[in-house]
Amino acid sequence: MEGMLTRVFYILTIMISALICCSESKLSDHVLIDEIPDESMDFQKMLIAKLTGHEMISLSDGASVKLESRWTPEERKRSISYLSAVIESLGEEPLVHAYRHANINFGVDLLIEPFRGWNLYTILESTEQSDEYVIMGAHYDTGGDKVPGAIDNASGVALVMAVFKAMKARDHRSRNLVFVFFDQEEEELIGSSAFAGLVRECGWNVHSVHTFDMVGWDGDNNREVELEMPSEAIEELYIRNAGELGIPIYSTNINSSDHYSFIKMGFDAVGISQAYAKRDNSGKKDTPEDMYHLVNFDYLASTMQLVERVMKELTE
Amino acid sequence: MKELSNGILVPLILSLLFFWRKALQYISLGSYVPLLLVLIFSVCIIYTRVKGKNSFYRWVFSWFVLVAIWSCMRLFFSCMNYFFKTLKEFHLNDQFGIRGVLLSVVMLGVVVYGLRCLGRKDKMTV
Repeated sequence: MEGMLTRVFYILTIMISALICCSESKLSDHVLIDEIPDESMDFQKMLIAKLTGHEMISLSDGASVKLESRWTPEERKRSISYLSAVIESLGEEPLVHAYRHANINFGVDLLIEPFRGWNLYTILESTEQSDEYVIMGAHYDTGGDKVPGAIDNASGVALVMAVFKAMKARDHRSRNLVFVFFDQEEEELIGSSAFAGLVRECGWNVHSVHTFDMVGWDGDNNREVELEMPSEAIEELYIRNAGELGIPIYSTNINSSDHYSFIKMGFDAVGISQAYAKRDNSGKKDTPEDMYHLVNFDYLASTMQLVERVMKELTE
Repeated sequence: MKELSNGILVPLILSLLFFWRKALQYISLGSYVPLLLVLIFSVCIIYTRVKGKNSFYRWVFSWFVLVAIWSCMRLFFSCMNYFFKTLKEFHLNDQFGIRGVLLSVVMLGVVVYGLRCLGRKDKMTV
């Protein structure tokens, strides 16, 4: 009797272990993209609407899905599928950087499994011979379940994608441009750390890295922009361009976003945000109220204008 | 060298294999803490077994106790996550979710069974 019980116990153990180890979900859906709007603001509105569940995402099998947040692996994969389809429809190849990353505290490695995530990026090659890269990025994940993350950070994703579209339309670029959408910024900046590691591994000659996090709120309507940990050269570049556009701008030492992953690895990086340090925030960060209608599209357009100008100068 | 009963051998191999998988996974990510732990125990267990030393059973006992503590800690965090404060980070939330609980329970079951067999072996020796 005891021998049989032992055998049943072992078989159950092996079956449960196999179930735990083998439960992986599929990576991508086939997403249908509506017509891409010509106007930058309409394009950004479309992106934020889809990423926040304000509008449904259509799949090629006739079904449509709503993104309630971008928190679970399934939701993040679906977001990647959507953004990949947008990149493809703009005529470039989307590249997925799947990674695993150790926990921040080595002791925790004993207790739990490593991080697992997916960055999405595309490379817009220079129109003349160049080995220099300028990287622009924004994280696409959200900080909780049922958190639509319109400002944090669908706004950043929309800005980067709109600059990608604008730069793609230009017939002259003196440097290569990389546009990247990071995973797991809300979880210890893991996605951008993994991507910075990939960049170092690839040996790219990186001119500078520009990351965008929360660029959709302007409570006092002054169009103010925050630079986080800029080098002198980058600070001068942004301040000069912002001055010409009449946009107030200031610098801080905030290190809680993706730019810090690159700075730690020795890259010249800057974070760009709404006036976060001056508390010009919606107060809805990481809540279910961070919804589409909170986004100030005029502010997003104003910041986009500044960034586009800077990128044009960097690729002149 | 006396033959080792399946009741000790199978839980020992299962638990060591589980932690070796973890160790190898983390080596590729540049983290060596899991490797250090599993290497120390594997070497000591194999060495004392080959040399026929009595300390073999102490090492096996310590290993089972360690894995039991590991499982209990995970179950504790799972309970905290479920009943008190839900973790906001998906990575942690997932690890201490249903799959995490299942894994902890399986590992706890494996080593408790091993400990029982160790205890039975001690009684028989006495």
